[in-house]
Amino acid sequence: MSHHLVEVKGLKYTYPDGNQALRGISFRITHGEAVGLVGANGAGKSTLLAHLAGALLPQEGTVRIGDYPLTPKTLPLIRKAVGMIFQDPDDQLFMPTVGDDVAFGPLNMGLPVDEVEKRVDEALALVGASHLKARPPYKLSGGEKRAISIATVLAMSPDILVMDEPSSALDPLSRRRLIQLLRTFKHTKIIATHDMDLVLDLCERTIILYQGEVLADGPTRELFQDEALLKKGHLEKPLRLQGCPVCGGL
Amino acid sequence: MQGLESAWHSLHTIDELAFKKSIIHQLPSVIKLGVTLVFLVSVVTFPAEDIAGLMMMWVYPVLMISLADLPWLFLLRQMMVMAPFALMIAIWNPWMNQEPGLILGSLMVTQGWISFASIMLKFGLTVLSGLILIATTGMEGVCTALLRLKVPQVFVTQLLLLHRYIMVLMDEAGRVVRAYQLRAISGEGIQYRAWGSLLGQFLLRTMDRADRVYLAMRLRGFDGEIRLLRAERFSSASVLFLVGWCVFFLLARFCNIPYLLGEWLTGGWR
Repeated sequence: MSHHLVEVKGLKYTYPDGNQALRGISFRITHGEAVGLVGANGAGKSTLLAHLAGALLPQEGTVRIGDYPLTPKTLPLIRKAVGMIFQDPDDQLFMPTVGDDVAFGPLNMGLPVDEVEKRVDEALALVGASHLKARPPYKLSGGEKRAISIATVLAMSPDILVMDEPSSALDPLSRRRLIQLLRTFKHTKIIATHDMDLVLDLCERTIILYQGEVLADGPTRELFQDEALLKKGHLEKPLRLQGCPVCGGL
Repeated sequence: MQGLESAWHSLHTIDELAFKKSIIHQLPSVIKLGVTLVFLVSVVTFPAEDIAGLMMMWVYPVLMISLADLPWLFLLRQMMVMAPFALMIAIWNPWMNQEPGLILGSLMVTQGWISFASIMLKFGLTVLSGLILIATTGMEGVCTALLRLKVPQVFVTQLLLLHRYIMVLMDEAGRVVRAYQLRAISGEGIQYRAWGSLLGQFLLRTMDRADRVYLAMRLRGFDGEIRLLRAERFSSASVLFLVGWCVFFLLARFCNIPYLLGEWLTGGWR
């Protein structure tokens, strides 16, 4: 099952304006792990995600997805293996109807129409959105758009799911539904977010980024108890681990 | 702001109309596009002085709107949005051409006024037929039809994405304008000095959005070709619809139906 593996070694990336976003990042994520990627604004989360999804190529260091190193030649294989879910679903849902959008990836993979239709129905059923198939995306609520954007990726049967702020702009109930949905997936999951409680709910492991470097990498509960570490990373304990605002007790 | 919002609602309404289930809505999109194209060519090529012939062409929008159960008033309002452009072109004709064209009793109508009426009628017919096509087929239906008619992919992709993102861009424009208005003391529209920076902001946001959308497309295997999942079957009724309308348009264009009808009726009376 090595195709579920994500390995980053000494990854560095500097933007054309001179901003050094990644300064030598290394980690290894194995099959079925759910990993939270947290850090302050500008810590390098989005740049790292862009590498994992094959949107950026390493300037220095290596990124390995499954059996393949990330190079221009392996990009199609990497993009097939990794499903990226964007922060703003409007960026991801560009087709006229939900059904077309979910079918977009499988059709581009050259699958026969019957198989595409089967995958579309399965992916929509998995996120509980079969009834939205004929609707245009702009008519959907934020929670529905998020579910569909996940379905668009699931329809391509990726091994690894990479998510950028999946809970942003969701109301509390939609956020809870999303967490329950993501919990059912057996994929390797990498979730970049500021929602510390979501990480606590979904990820047994967390990587804290700080100024383009890995500040800490370990079990989520352990890291989130270390207040000094969190403070250095411009973070806070998840609300659930903070004391009661009235009595101070946990 | 209100103008933007009302335009946004109109676009929504036209899209929603395409989800109705009338017999017209169920026809294959290629057939409807074909009929619309033949209709447009017939209308545009009518001679300027043939007002009676042009009036016959109104049978098409009237029947289509009734059969498709579309809201009359709404479509007419949308048509009127474009009216100033046609008016600006046609309004000069009565002054430019004052040759006598038609004498109705003691009233003399100049050729300029006749061509003015002709331009306005053609404008009404063409815009209304386009609106009917979108309201009964939807933009994705139109794009599917265009692909089937071998229109280059690049145009169809542009059309699809433009239609999808016009809503998102209008939202974005709405936010920029609202942010300006909340800090504008006078409240009298946007000052000309602010137009440059507002447009610049909007352009930058649009480019960022375009980058992200393109990335999302590439990550899902986009190779320059949009593939739509549509299977449309041609029934004999749909072919009859196409042939029937084409015959009617050609008859209206090349035969003087009102005159023939009149002659037949008066002959019948004798």
